[in-house]
Amino acid sequence: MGLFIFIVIIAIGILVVLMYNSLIAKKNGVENTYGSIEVMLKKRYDLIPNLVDVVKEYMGYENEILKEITELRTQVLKNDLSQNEKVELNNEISNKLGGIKVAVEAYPELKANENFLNLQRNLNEVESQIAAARRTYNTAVTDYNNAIEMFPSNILAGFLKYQRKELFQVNSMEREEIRINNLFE
Amino acid sequence: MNSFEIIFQELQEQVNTLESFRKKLLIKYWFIRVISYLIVFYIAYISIDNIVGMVEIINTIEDLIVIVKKMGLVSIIERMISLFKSGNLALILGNIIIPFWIYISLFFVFIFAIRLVLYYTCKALDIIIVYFSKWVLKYDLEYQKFYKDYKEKIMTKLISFFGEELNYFPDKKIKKDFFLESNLYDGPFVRYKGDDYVEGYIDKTKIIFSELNVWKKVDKNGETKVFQGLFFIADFNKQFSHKTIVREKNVFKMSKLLNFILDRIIYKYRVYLYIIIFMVTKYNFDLIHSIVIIIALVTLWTILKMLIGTRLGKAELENKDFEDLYDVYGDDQQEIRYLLTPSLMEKLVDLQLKTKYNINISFVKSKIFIAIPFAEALFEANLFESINKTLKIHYQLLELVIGIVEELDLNTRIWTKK
Repeated sequence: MGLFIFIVIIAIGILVVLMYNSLIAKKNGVENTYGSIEVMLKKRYDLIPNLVDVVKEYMGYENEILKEITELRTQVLKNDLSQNEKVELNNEISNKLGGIKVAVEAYPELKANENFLNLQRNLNEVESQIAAARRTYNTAVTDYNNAIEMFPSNILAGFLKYQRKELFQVNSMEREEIRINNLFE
Repeated sequence: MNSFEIIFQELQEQVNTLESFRKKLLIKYWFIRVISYLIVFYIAYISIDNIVGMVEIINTIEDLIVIVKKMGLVSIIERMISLFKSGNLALILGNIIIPFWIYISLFFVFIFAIRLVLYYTCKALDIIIVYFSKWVLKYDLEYQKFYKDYKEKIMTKLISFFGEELNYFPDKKIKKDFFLESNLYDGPFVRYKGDDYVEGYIDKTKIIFSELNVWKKVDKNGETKVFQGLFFIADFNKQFSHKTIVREKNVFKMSKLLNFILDRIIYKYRVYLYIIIFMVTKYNFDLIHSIVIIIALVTLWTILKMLIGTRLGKAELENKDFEDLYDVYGDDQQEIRYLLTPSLMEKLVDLQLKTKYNINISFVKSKIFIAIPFAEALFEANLFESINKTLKIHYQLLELVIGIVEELDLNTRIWTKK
């Protein structure tokens, strides 16, 4: 009788340890994938000054949109932003980039410019990678949320005070992305 | 891309020539079959009657074995026998069309042996058989020509209709290195054969494909098929550095059932399950025992789920139809999603719907590899079907394969790969 209880306690103990480790792995997974998004976003920030340089030669720096995007980039690189603020700024940047793509339509020499074409390709690639990074993040978050809310790991999660995390909502601009890329063709 | 009618009109002349050739050849084929059956029956008839003849036959068979060994045909015979034994009809059909010349050669050997037998029995028939076998050989040559003509005259033109920059090599096959590079199958292979090699460009995308028939050794006497069908390689429109493999879903039936039970039934109705267990145990054990057992069972279930669910490198993707068809493995989760965009996943599902067997796909070294299995030999002229029909079948097959480039949008080069 005593032996039975002892074995059961050991077994439950092992299971608890496994559960704990799994929760930690999933939490870290979420942070990891979030970091990848940040890496891709940074790639995009780095491309913006080049883009502005090339475009302003044809469009002139007075053009509002170029000013705005440079301003946004400076803002987003500040260190003291909350996650929500960052997300909003990045959405703004996506919007502005879309606007630039549309505006460029009126300048055929710009569209044929070697540097611009290269930049456009890099930008498209970065956008695709950002989308991929966000999808990976969403999968990690779903895994994590499942683990937190399902029995029995939800008990353990309660003890550790783990909170549910939010998924990345697909920006409506990203849905437009495919159409605008066709414009570029 | 031209519709089938236009192509057919262009090839009208060659098709008609080859069709009349085929019909003549078909008549000869049946003639040979009937005559050879008659000869065999006659031999059987006279040997039963003639006991002395039987002894001669046995001696002749020993000579025959020596002849066969000298001609190096033993292994071929063994292989044919094992094919028939294995009972795999598709295999037999697939293998008989190609080594038809072997069939003819064996027949020739048989006739040669019969000649020796008949030498002791009937001189006249012996002479008939000599001429007959010479004629059979001539038929064999014509048969070879028929096959070659179809490939050189008709297939070559057919493929050029699909793309000016495509080159067709009927006897070449994809190099083993490329096959292995796909990471879809591993060697060592006991047989690596193939033909109908096409290489070239569709607009900006380079493609290579060929028919392949690959086998590997399983144990002392067994061989198993690794892959038979069309193997397609194309330049992918995105740069990437890791490997991603999309395999047909391969869940053990048992574990699928187990998963189903765990997921749907037990989890959904777990409350009732707890109550039932509680009630049952309450009457046999005391309360603490029951609670402990319930908790143990549930935690065990959770751990089982976690262990079954997490497999290294496996990705869970968003498209449900895609997830039902395939398991995706890769070194980099993000790169997997970079390559397998929602639109590409849809297109791969559509592609799968067009083929009978499960296709396997992989992304390695900036190329996409697609392995489309088929049960029969492809792009071969058929003695028993009209050339028109054969042509149409091959046209549709080419449409499927070369169309992959359009289907998957591989010519859209808006990322850094040009």
